[in-house]
Order: sequence, then structure tokens, then C-alpha cells
Amino acid sequence: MMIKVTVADPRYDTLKSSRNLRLPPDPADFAAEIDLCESAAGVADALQRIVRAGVRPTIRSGGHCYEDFVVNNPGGTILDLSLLTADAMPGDKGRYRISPGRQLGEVYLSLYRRYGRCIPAGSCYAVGAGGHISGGGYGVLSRLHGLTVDWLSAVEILTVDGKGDVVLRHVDQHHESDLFRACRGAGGGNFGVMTGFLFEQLPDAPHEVISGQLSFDWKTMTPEKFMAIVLAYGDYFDKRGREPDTWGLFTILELTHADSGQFGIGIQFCNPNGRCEDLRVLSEFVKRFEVFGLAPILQDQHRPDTPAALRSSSKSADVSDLEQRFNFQRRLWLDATIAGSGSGGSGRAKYKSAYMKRNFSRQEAQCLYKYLTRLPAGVNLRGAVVSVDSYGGAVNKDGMATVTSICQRSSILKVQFQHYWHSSEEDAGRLQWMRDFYTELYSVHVDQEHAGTPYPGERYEGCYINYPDSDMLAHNFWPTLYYGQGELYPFLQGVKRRYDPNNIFHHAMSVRA
Amino acid sequence: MQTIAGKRWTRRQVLRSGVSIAALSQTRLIAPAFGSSRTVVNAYVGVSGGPQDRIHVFSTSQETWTETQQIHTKAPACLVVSACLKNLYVANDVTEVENLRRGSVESFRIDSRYGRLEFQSVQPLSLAATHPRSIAISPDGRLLAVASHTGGIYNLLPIAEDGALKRPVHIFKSTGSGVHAQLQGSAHPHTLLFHKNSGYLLSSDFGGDHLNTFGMRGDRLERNAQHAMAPATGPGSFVLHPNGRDLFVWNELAGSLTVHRFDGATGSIGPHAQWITMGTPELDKKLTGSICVHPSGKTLYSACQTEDALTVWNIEIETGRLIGRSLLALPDIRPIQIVAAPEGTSVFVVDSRRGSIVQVRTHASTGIPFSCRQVAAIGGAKYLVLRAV
Repeated sequence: MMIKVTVADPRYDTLKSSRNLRLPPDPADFAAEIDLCESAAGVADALQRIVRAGVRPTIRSGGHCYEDFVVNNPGGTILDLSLLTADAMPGDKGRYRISPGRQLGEVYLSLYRRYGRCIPAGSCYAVGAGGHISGGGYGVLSRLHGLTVDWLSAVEILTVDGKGDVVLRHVDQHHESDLFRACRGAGGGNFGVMTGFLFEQLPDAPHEVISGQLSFDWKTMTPEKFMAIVLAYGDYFDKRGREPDTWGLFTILELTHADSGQFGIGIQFCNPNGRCEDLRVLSEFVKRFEVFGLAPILQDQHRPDTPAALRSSSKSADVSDLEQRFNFQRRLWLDATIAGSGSGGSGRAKYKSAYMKRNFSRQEAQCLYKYLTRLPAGVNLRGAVVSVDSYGGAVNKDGMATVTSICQRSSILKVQFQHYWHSSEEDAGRLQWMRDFYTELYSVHVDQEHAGTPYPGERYEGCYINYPDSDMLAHNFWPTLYYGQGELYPFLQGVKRRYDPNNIFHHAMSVRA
Repeated sequence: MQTIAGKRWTRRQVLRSGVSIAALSQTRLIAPAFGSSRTVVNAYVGVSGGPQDRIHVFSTSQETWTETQQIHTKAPACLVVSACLKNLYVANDVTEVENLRRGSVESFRIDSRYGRLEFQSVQPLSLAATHPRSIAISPDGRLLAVASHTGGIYNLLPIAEDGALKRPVHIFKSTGSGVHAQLQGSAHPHTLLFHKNSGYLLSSDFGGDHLNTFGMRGDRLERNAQHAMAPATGPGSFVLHPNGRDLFVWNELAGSLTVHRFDGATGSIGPHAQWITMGTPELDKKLTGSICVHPSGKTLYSACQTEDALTVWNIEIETGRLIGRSLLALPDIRPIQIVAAPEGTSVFVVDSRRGSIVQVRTHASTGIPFSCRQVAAIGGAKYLVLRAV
């Protein structure tokens, strides 16, 4: 069964877009049609029809793609897998199934309630499993249990052969293992349509966790204090955080812009056995930061994408007087309804990323302070945050780089630059600030040829493919940023040539055969 | 091999069966005027491979070509002049534009008096439409069709009133593969041509071993028919007879020339009615060739890039079949393109070795050549288009 949504359909205006309303930049680039498929067979039929008609398909599960890889498809068709949500299928042979349309929050609920299991995946609960898993997947349990793809045992994927015929493949370590490896983290939209992810084993869900937040007041912040906090944070994961007894600790240093009033560290902790009986690791971590004077947490200040934060940050010319006076926010119905799901509603956004193998340097910390306190004329920077996620632990388990397509297995921190706003009039200023920030930060310790990027080397391991950044296309070495300097990218190019010879599946940053 | 009454013939056998082979001398004869009232006044030659890609503009006359301008372009693979003669379009045989994987097409304004060019705009193609190598203007002049060779993608670009190109209004992604794993791993559209009367767009697909026809529904392409060639044929350049019915195809993997019937009413392409083996490609290589029909419809010219000669065929009007006429030796020339002047008095051969442009003078009513000479020499010459008024 397939539901076709064309321009005339009332749902088109909502479904043509994904979460990032900034994209595509040109409205003429929206897809002409969205096909919502309810079964793998339906996906196969739709895909065959699309290919025969000479139309380009792009694939969406949850709609959280950071760039325009799905929605920029002029005249094309979006294959929307959000209704592909089966938890079990005949032939699963006792394996755990995650369908691409399942949102992560639903996955956690289902795995826990049915089996008492969990999966080390992301913390934005409306994110679709399809895109998340195909790009690696990680979250608050990753230091303890590795990446999502580290647990993946098999994938069901529809490819298009040289003649243009759709082929259903069941791939794993013993069957078309090259394609299987490519499905483990190379990113979505490259080789085919993944209709099922199967796991032989999954870790037990923790029994309990302790979560909380440490906050620091920008008002009383000084450059030295800021740098000391950042360096103390990075130092922990560069040293103490490498030890296995700390792997149940996951933290995010959320460096919001000074305009927000506070920045802080989000924390989730459990012992490696999934309980919280021994809190010494947590205490030790918290103690590091008590010396800096912790502030009481202000409501809604730390999530830059919350309605409160955004309302106060965005003044758009196209918002009615009524909306402005009472801080009302106009949203499409569906977006407004699911906005509280943990990943915020739709808005305009831009993202960048970097893997760090070592603690920040003083110069890097200085650069962070500079840009997070900068007030460029006419540019509103509420909604900007640099999230420094703890990383490493089980992610860096030996051997995983050669059986998955995530080669970054030496990092201790993962940095995500996020920026959220509502008005298109603010695009230029916000984007330019972000570019300047990123370029300067990653020029401190990077050679001239690769300046402006976290080029793999002593300090960095490039960027995360699930946090794609089209600005990196300006560098002809961008594949190295996402896939490393070794054999991985040539390997993926070979997989591309073999399984998608006609390059049916492509986007701005897809693997180029 | 050629198939005549079920038997395949080599080119050599066909030539022997016809009029005796004669290598023409440089003797000049006065050619009677042909019916066409159009005269070539400019020639545009796309050049690449050197320090800078460019277009050389020539003012032409019966006696001399005079270069009047050089203008920068990017990797020119195909040039066309608009029917109104006011614009020149150039397919940029590139893989990246503005950091995205795609090719582009440039438009130039043509000065009506001297034929000089002025850069107008460059239009990027759709994502993944890399290495565009063939372009064609729709008979109504509204649309430019572009075939992306490595991307396997067709783009339709609207042409504005001033001749500028707009962003693609339709994108068609083709699929296909052939027997040759290395050279035919995916669809590789090669040549595009609009059938003037029916408006069908014809294309050859080297990778998929197909000849395609597309109908136009508004500003969209719809594949109307697909004719499968024999495996490992590798159709490349093709031309239509002025009658719009006979289609002549140069096949790069098979090293052959085939003749097909095209039905303008249904848009279907028939199986080959004739197959002539022209040569044998080296292992894992293509045998590139070019073909051209004389405006009289009586003569076809073919040239293979590995031979320094022009084969001149007589066309049987009723059947479209080719009968060997003569072999014109072109010493030290490696032809990559043959272009007929619309008035029928000349055919121009572009040389890939040293960039010579050779003018072969022909009888206007028959296309039979009688003399030849070099009119220009431009290293790196890739493509020639004529502007006739």
C-alpha cells in the first residue's frame, strides 16, 4: 500500500519539507511528490515505478536530515518510510528488528517493554531510525555500548541494478558483506533503500540512571574561568574518561551563546552494570566543576530550540503584529503537535561537527569564548550552541572501524555546532557567524592546506556523516573529513559502483563513484 | 559487417561492389549551386585541453576563414547555434559546478553583423548531471535538451526570450547497462537530436546499448520508445536523413555503422536494416567515429578516428541503405567530427591530432566531394558549429 501526496494534496505543504525549514534554499527545488509506503513490498513497487519513469528518488525516515539531501529533489519523489514501523516480520529468526520509520523514542519503548533491552542510539526521540542507523547512530549509552551500527547484524535493502530493476537484498557478514559494511555508517541515500535493520543481540537496558545538569552563569563568566571549565571538561575525557569504570557516564557540554544567560553540562550516569549503586565516578566528575561555582538552572534557557528561547530571539517581518505582541508562534499543525517530542519542532537550522582525539587547547578554548561572547552588529545569536559530547569508551573498541563504515574510533569528544532560528531574514548573519567560528577554530592547529576543517590528524578525526555540513564541499578533500584517510572511501566507491551503477541514489554529499 | 539480403558485408566488400575507389586530387571544379539559400558566414570552434579552454570565432567565405575572436569557455564538448542565430550554447564537459557534482551549459549572444560572441550566462545542470556532451534545441526553440554522459541524466532547460538559459525544468534519470562491464556499467547518453517534424527527441545510449525516443509533454520528457541494440554495440553518434525517416548510427563498441528506420508518427526506431563493420576496436576501447548526411540526402560521410580518411557513401533514397562510393584520403588527419554546410557546397572535417579544420568541397546537388583543403588549424579543436544566414 502506498500513499501518494502530490502538489494538489493538502498534506503536500507539510510533507514536502523536513525539519530544517531553511532547506531547500530555492522553493523550486522541492520534490514534486511524496510517496508514503507502508511495507517493504510497497517501497519496492514505488521505487521501481519511480526508476522506470526516469524520476530521482530521495529517501526519508524521520525527516531530521541536517542538509537538503532529501528535500532538494526538483521534480523528483521522496520515498517516505515513516509508516514502515513493523517491530517483527516473518523470517526474523528471533532477531530484533528496527524498521526505518520507527522513531527512536518508540524504539526504546518497544525494545524495553518487549525484551528489557536498549540500543545505544540518539537522544532526539523523533529522529527516524532509518537515517540515524545508516549514518552510524550514537547517544547517551554509546560510551558504554558503542555505536548503534556496532550491534547491527543484518540489513534489508532495496537496490537498483544496472538494468534498472529493483532488487531486494538481505545483507550481513556472510551475504554481500561489502554492502552490509557500507550500510553500517556510510550515511543514508547512498546505495539503496534500507527497509529493515536486524540485531542478533542488544544490550540490557540500564535499570536506572541519574541525570541532571550543571549550569554556569554567563553574567559572571570571565575568559579565564570559561577556558578553565572547557579545559577541565576535555581533560576528564582525555584522561580519566578513558577508563572503563567511567563509561556509564555520558555528558554534553552545551556551550550556548552568552545571550542565553547560561551554559551547562547535561549528565546521564549509571554504573557499567546498569545500576546506580556506586556514585563515585559521578561525584568525581561533578566535583571538577563545583570549584567554578554552579548556577541554578534557568527554565528553558539551555535548549536553544525551545519555544521560549526562540520566541525571544526571533523577530520576523512576516510575523503578524498579534504574534509579535504576544510572542505567539505560527507553525504547521503537525509540527506544533509533535514539537514536545524531545527534538523540538521545525525551524531553520545549520549544523557542523568535529571529532576530537584530545582535549581542547588553550587557543581553542579562547576561540570558543571569543565567538560565544561575540555580538556581531545586527545578528541575533540566541539559538546557537556548541555541544561537546563525551565520546570514546566502547565506541573505540578495537576492530570496529574495519567492519563498519565509521572509521572515527580514536576520539574522546564529539562536537556538534547547532544553530536554530525562525526568520529567513536572519539566515545570512547567523550562517556567516557559524562559518567564521568554525573556520577560525579549526585553523588553530590545522595545516594551511586543510585549514578551516577538523582534518584527520593528531587532534581530530574529521566530521560525522550524520551531521553533514555542505560547507565542507568547498574542500576537495571533504570525503576524507567524513570517511578518513584510509581504505574506507575507496571501498565505499567500489560498493557504489557495484550496487548502484546508475547512481540512482545521490545527493550533494553522497558517495561519488 | 553489412547485412544485405541476410548476408553481412565488410566495408571493403561493399566498396568493391560499388563504383571503383578513387582517391580525389586537389583539382578544383566549379560546383553548381544547390537549392539552399543559406550561406555559412561564421564558424565556431570549441577548443579544450590547452592552457585555457576557448571558442575560436571565424568569419568564413568561399575562399578563406578569418579568425575574428577568441573567447573563454569551459570544456566545450558540444556547440549549437539557435535557430534565430542570436545565441550560441556550449555544453561544459565538467563534473563540478559551485562545489556540487554536475555539469553546466553556457549561453553566448551572437552579434548579428560580425558573428562575434558575448558571454551571457552559465546555467548549472541538475545534481549528478556530470559531463554533458550533447545538446539540442527543440524545433520550437523553447527548450534546450542536454544529455549528461557520465551522469546518465537528461535535462530540459527553458530558453528565455533573450536566449538566456533558465534552470532545468525537467530532469530524466536514465538507467541501463551493457555487456562490457568497464565501459557499459551504467547509462551513458551520447548524442541528442530533435526530429524536426514530430518533435521527438532521439538519443543514443552507449552504456545501455539503446536508442531512445522521448516525447514532449509540455515541458517534460516522456520516454516513448527504447530500441535495444545488439549487445556490446555501444551506439554513439547518429544522424537523421533530411527525410526524417532514415537513421544512421555509428556504434563505438562494435565498430560499425547501422541504418535504421525511424517512424515519425509513433516515434519508434526499427532494428538495423543494414550493418557495416567499419573496424575493430582495441580491447576495452571504443572506436570513435563521426557521421554526417549531405543536405541533398544523397550522400553520407563517415570517418573513424583511427583512420585518416573520409568514407563517402551513396544513400539509396527508397531504402536508406548505404552503398560504397569512395574513400577520400585525408593524410595525417584523425577526424572527430564532420559538419555539412547547409548550402551543400562543403563538408568540414575536424581533426583531433593537430586541430586542423579541413574543408571538403562537394557538389551541392549530390554531395560528391571534389577537392579539399585546410581552412584553419587550432590545437585542441573539439567541436565545430556553423552559423548560416
